[in-house]
Amino acid sequence: MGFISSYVVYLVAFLGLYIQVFFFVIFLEKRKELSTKKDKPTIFPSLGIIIPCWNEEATVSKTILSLLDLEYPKDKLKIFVIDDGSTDNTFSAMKVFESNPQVQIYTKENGGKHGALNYALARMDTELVSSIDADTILEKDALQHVVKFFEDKKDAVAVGCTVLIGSPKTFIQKAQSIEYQMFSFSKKMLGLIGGVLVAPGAFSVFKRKVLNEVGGWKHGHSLEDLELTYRIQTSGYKADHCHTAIAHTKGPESLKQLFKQRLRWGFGFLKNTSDYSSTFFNRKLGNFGIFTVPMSVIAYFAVMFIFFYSWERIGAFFYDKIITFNTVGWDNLFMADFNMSWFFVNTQAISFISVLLLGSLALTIFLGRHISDVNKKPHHILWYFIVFSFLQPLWVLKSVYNYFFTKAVAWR
Amino acid sequence: MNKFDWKKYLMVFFLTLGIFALSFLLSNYFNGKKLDSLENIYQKIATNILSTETKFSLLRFASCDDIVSDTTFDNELTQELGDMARRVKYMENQLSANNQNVVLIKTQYTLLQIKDYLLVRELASRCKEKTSVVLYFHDLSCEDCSKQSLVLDDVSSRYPKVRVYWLDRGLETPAMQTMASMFNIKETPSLVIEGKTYAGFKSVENLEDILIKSKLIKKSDDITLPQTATSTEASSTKISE
Repeated sequence: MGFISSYVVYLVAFLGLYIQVFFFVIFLEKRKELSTKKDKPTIFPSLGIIIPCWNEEATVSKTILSLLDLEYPKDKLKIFVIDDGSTDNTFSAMKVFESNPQVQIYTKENGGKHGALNYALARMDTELVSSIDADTILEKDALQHVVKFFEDKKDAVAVGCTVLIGSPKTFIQKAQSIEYQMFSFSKKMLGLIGGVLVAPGAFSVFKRKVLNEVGGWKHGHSLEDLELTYRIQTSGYKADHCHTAIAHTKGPESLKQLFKQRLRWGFGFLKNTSDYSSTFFNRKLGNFGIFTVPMSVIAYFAVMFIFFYSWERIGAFFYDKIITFNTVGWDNLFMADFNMSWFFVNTQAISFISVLLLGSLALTIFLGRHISDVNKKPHHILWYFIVFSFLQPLWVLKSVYNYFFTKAVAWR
Repeated sequence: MNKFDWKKYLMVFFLTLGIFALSFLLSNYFNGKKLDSLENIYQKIATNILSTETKFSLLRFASCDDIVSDTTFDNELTQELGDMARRVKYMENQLSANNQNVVLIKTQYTLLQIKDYLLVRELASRCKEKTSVVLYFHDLSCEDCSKQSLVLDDVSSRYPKVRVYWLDRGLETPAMQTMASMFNIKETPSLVIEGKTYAGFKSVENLEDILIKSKLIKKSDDITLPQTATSTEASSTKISE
């Protein structure tokens, strides 16, 4: 470790630890607001759900059926399914629901997700508007909880909900399931201090009046949900997070798909954040400006850095072993490890800090599972560390590259 | 309307700072312990070398046969020297090569090694016995040195009679400089065997060759011979070349 780089390592570690400690302090401070107890709302406002679809023939009917099955008064719940110029049989799959009074189906020329959402918004008159992804299934009581949340938090206009990975099949999805559990913790903590970064496109609910007032969805560099949340909050409105309303999504199945998605997220995050760079340390925006935005940027790069650093160390270890093998052969390969004394255990300060940082990641996962009531075994955690530690640095770097050379990324 | 409270940001800052401070304190504590253990090994080496010194002094009153048994060296010291070298190197990586405590310990034990080397040479020449000693000049910045160190570890573990003195060429002590100029050390790694200087990296086979040719070891001395049949083959083919 070089002289200068060791300062960088300590700086990054400090910032990373600061963010984690901040979250845990909020948790301790506000733990009373984190009950998973489920109260019913007193009134049920009219609510419209938009499902923008592009080539979703396989999933769309299942999603609509699950929405029709939600515990919410039928006369108050409308479902708007928009076929955004699909090239497969999405529209004919939607047509099955044509006669259902709760379901409105539309087909339009392809114009991007934001276009589909706005198309529906223009045709809605409900008090609340929810946007969900076509591959996302809501828990039966999810809408009740959001509505109750709106009832309690009068000033919230955009409420993001907890999104988990439903039943992960591939190891890529298993890895993501842990990641989403972590997200659910940090998102809730940000919600508690009025600093939500994004009300996710997979499942969020908005007050329609405000949505219209700020001008609906925009392209937002293919990350329309982040852009909208930025716009709502910089327009002086509040975003929050409802952890008791839970949706299950699929998440990309393959490495390639995951990489593509993360490239879109990373690129959109960097682009939108620089579009809204006035939010940085903006005191008028409270914790959102002081903590959320700078923290997200730092965390985005810090995670990459920490993984890079770990791999460098692991790489150095194996390089060392290879040299040893080439020099003295098998016999002595593990000689040093056999007579290992505690003397050769790394006791630099950075080792203790690394252990604490890893521990804080584990604690985040634990608390995320706790507040989202996840009971499945946490053994997928191994997949998380394998998949994300390898790939995160790659897509972060590629996103940064794309950011500077302004290559647009496809929505899908 | 959007509130944020500076006190929390400050509190988190100090908490994080506290965790950092604690990590550094722990690190300091353990590194201190490690330096103490280096001190312990140093004391052991010093005691061992005192015994060589005593033997040497005894020569005035006794004959060679009385003193020098067929095991010229006690194996223990050889191991301790290697162990010490490994640990010092590790501490140099962990702390920094300029750390005063490390440099001090390194200087002390290097001087002891030089002293032992001289005594052993004297003892051997008076009693007409071959001494299997290797002077190993290394350096922190040299690339091949870590490989050379592995080779020496390997050879001295298989031939306990061979004692390696680990000398850091970068050490600024006058005795070190004298040794280096005495044996005409121009680069690291360099080995001095039977007064001859071998510059550059020497593999296990090369080193065994040199030691055999200098009649310091015999192939049969290899205590792990059965397991290392392949390496024996490799070196024997080399000899036949």
